[in-house]
Amino acid sequence: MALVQRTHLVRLTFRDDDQTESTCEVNLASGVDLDSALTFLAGWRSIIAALSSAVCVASDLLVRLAETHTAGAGLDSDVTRQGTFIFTTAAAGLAVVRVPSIESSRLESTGPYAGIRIDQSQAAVGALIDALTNGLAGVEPCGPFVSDLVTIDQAYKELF
Amino acid sequence: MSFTAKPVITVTYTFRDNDGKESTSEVLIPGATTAAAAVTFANALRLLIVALSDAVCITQNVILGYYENAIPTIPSSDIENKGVFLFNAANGLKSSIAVPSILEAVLQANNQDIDQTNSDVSAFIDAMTLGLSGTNPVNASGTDLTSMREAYKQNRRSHLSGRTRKG
Repeated sequence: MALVQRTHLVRLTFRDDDQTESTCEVNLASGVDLDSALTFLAGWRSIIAALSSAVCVASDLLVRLAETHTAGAGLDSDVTRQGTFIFTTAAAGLAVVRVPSIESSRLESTGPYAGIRIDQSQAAVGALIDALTNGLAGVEPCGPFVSDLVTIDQAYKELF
Repeated sequence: MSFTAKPVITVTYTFRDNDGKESTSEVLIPGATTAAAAVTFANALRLLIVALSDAVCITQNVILGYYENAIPTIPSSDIENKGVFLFNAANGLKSSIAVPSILEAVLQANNQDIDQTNSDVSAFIDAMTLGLSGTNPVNASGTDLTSMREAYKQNRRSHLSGRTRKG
């Protein structure tokens, strides 16, 4: 059981005059360095656009890992039970990160919010919050409007 | 009009529980992050998220996106008219690519087969089989595409939810 690198995926999105969209995809070997893959993406976009009467409106490079053996989920696992972490951002906004199938043991076990509020005193919980607010491997996560995540506001279990 | 990097890079992790249901966790990082740094970050963050979940993380994607910042008036077009290109791969398998709204100008007189002598078509075929900027496209299993097999127009209905179907 291991996450292994899949081929990189180059994806172009085209839109026609009815505003309907469709994608065109090509794989690149997983060993291709990412700068080369981005160079390929730009060149390939021009080549494909020359063959289409629709307009290319977006292009993406997906760097992908996939699990080779997908069994092994815990007996109590349930992806509809999610850990919701709400952060304040530097622009005074809010941003959410969710953890599917949050372990029940990560929730407070006593008090009025037992089984609901995520126990931020746990080391593993604190490590995730620290990574999202202070950065990890030199990268600072952000909200959808590129504003840094600053502090944790609330963390609790939600069912979807 | 030009392609511009999206302001954020999206990192996604898909989890599967013991009933086979799947759900995705998403984290955003600034678009100015280098691709290599984004992947390093994603690998490290995955370990922290996995530690809190009793489901299995089955995929991780780092999505580096670009968008057209000034979409022009779109000419008459139909993304369901695909240009289907079938390629032979070095492992003996076939691989296909569908170009949405293939130009009628690159079709042969029968309005179905794609004219492989057209310069734009041959540029595409060369890019697919010989590589582009030093990078060779591959099939889904990572094997080089070696030659063109056939190319034709095919109408395929669109199944994008919330959008108008045509055809």
